[in-house]
Amino acid sequence: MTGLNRIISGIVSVGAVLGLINPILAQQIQRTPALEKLIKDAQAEKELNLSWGPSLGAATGAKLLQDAMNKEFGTSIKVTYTPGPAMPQLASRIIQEIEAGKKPTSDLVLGAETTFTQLLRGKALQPIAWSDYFKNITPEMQTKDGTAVHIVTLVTGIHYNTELIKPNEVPHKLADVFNPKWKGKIAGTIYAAGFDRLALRRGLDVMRPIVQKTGEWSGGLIRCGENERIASGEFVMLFMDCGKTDDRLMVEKGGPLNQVVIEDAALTTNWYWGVPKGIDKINAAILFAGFVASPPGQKVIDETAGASSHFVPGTSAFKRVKELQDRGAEILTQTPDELLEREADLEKFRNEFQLLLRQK
Amino acid sequence: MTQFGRPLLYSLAALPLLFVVGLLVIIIWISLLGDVSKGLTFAVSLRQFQSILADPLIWTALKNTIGFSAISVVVSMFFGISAAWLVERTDLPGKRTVYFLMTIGLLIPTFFMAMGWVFFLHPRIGMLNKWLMAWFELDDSPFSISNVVGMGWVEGLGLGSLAFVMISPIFRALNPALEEAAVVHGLGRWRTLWHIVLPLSWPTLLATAIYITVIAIATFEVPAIIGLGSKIFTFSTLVYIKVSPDGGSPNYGVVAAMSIFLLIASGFLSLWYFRVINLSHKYGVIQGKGYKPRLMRLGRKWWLGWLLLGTYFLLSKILPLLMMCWAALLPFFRPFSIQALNFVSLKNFHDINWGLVTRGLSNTFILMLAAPSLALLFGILISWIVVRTKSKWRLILDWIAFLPHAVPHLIFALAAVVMGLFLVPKWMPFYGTIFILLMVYVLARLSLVTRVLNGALLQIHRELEEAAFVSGLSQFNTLRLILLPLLIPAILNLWIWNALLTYRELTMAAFMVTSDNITLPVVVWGLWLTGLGGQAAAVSLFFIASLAPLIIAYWALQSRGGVKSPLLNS
Repeated sequence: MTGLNRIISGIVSVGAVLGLINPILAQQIQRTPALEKLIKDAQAEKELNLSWGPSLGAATGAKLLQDAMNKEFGTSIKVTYTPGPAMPQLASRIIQEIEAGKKPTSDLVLGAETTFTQLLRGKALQPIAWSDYFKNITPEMQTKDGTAVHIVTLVTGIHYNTELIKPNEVPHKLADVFNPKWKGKIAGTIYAAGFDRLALRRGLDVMRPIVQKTGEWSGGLIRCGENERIASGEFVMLFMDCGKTDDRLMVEKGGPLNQVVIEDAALTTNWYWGVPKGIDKINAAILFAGFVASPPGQKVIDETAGASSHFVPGTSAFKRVKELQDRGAEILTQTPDELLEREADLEKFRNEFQLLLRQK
Repeated sequence: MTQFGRPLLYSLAALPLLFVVGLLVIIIWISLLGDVSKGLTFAVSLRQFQSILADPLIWTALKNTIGFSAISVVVSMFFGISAAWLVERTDLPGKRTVYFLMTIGLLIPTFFMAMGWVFFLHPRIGMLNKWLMAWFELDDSPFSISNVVGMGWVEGLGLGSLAFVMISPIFRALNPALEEAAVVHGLGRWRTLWHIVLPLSWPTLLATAIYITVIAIATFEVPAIIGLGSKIFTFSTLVYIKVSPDGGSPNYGVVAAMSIFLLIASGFLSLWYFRVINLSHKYGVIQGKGYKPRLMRLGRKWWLGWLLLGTYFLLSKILPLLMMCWAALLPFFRPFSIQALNFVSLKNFHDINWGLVTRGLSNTFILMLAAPSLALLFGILISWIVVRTKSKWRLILDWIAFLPHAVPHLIFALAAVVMGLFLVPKWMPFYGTIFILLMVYVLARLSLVTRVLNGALLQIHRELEEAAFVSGLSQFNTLRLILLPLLIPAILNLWIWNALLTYRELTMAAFMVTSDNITLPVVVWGLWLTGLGGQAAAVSLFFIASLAPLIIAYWALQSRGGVKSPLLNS
């Protein structure tokens, strides 16, 4: 370590201790020889084509991440972002493209654990030795074979319009959601988020009536992150959501939006990056994904979208999960590897639940 | 013509038609496969058809599609017939303006209108509903656009312009002697309209209704914008969710099987359409050279005509435009009020991803230049062979060239995706590139181009070509030096019209785009789909503004008499 680095390191440490600087800032990406080579190879690739839905700040988030990554590594990689469909839809498309031997639509795929079981089964992803490049990426942040790297932890519940639901009416239990006055006014997710995973744990017979009732109560199906549709009052709430993400942007604009965890149906939703097979910008893709999983990238998505990984100390997700655990809340967490073992059941439940939600 | 030249022209003419047939074969092929995900095989199965019959959503979608199409037809015919009658059969002042506005109305994207109507009449956020609920202290919204009737209403408003341009020529050519005879026998204006004008025009009216039905049953824009988020599925939106499933692989086999039913329905409707068109000669309504239509005098009641037309323009164009302007200024939609003014800002415009919009715009412009040009190149060759040669293949060529009219365009788009995924080699730039869009856009426009060019070629007397031939010009040079210059007005007309239709195309593009070949309408659709209604409105306004120079160019050419809707000739 040079003298200058020691001084900076010292200032950061003192700042962190005094609480003046967010602990995340205190962490730096350690430059290993493997990472240095990756940076050089990624720079040679010059650009990255990415597509995902309304999460992580969408286009704004992509631009901020691009700038932060280039600043961190001294690169000038251009990230071209295209709004994509829902995570499972994009994954389906990428699997199909890979099976047909075509170039995937996106150089990285963003998805929740259930999306990744689909991608793992479709053998659509490349195993990456993440920890060789990024020392902060621990084994628990990856799938067993390194095909996915963890970037976001969310705790599911409901997103609701604070003007339309009074504080004393806010649901905290499943039964509270099915208030007769909200019939036809709530939104479900088009992919039946969370219900399939809960059914794995609690059984199909327990979850089927709940999903059926959600279908009866829902006036429409949207995707997680479509906060504008809740804030506008198009729907009084989204049940079950994928967790608190991208709310801050809407709240800052004056949007009447909040999220609450449903105590008897709490589960974490974990988002991962995966590198699809058949892409030609593999180094830039690894660099970008690894950066987002690292403290400086986590800081960007935490500030932009209110999303972060509970594996990275100091993030809002780290604090939130700890707080819920301290309160004794039972939160269901499943990894893509665990879900892959019960993929057939998961798919069966998902198909049935999606059909139940789509019916009027 | 050299021995080499003629086969080349024939091959060039046959090329797009081979693709038309090829894409239809692909759809039939994959509908008969058990599993498409691993590629195209020859293992025939009826599994896809069985799964359709077992899917409850299919029957709901079928019922919704029939209801949606029927309401679209009723609404569009009401406004189309009324406007055509006012313009062609009365002395209404300002007809030229009506003509222009109705024709231009065809070019305003339906998705734009649908978004505007969501903001106006959605049961929970619609501005009118919110106002009425506040004023009259209602618990529930009195109106709703989020149902089959509402969707049909919006689609019908959009198609009203199409009905107008198809119906007005027949009203213009109606034999006045019959009306005069009716008046002499004491029938009033309205009874004459009911007993004489409408019965005489019925083949055209029925043909227009059938034509609109074929469009409505496969249209994507309105059902996607209004219905998809409210669990109201029609054929096209069900196809969309089947090819973009939330888990598992895209279900091309089921979609192809569904398409077969749609093909059959469209095929029957098109056959009926042509039977009706062929019947129309029995209703010989055109008088001849001395014919001058007798116009009904509206007198001081002319304003009633303008009230109806004004209501149509207000509902179909102005109201959606105002809603979109308001929505574009808000971070999340709320009805107009003094309090809501606090939220007004230009943030949606500031937040627009201009890189994406520029990419979409540049792809759209390339397509707008290339698709009409190629469609015209192929169209000229096909029409020339059909009308001017004695080739034994000409009838088959003409029939295949007509197929894109009968086949819903989204079926071509789906087949092209399957072709790109499984049949085109990886090294060939097709899937995910602008070329896949270009191919489908060109094929989709072939029927219109060849119908118009067939008509235009038939109007050019053969004597000119015979004289050229006697003077030693080859067939190719006769086509180049004699026919093409004479066809310039029709070619120019078709080119501009097709360019404008390409600019606004969403239905086909939504099924074929990737990040590389994204078009501007798909950018708007993508923003809407991701719940960013305000930004979608902002980009839509940019979209409409960028369409303005083209519309002005179209108006200028129309004013000089050089351009008119090709639908009037087809």
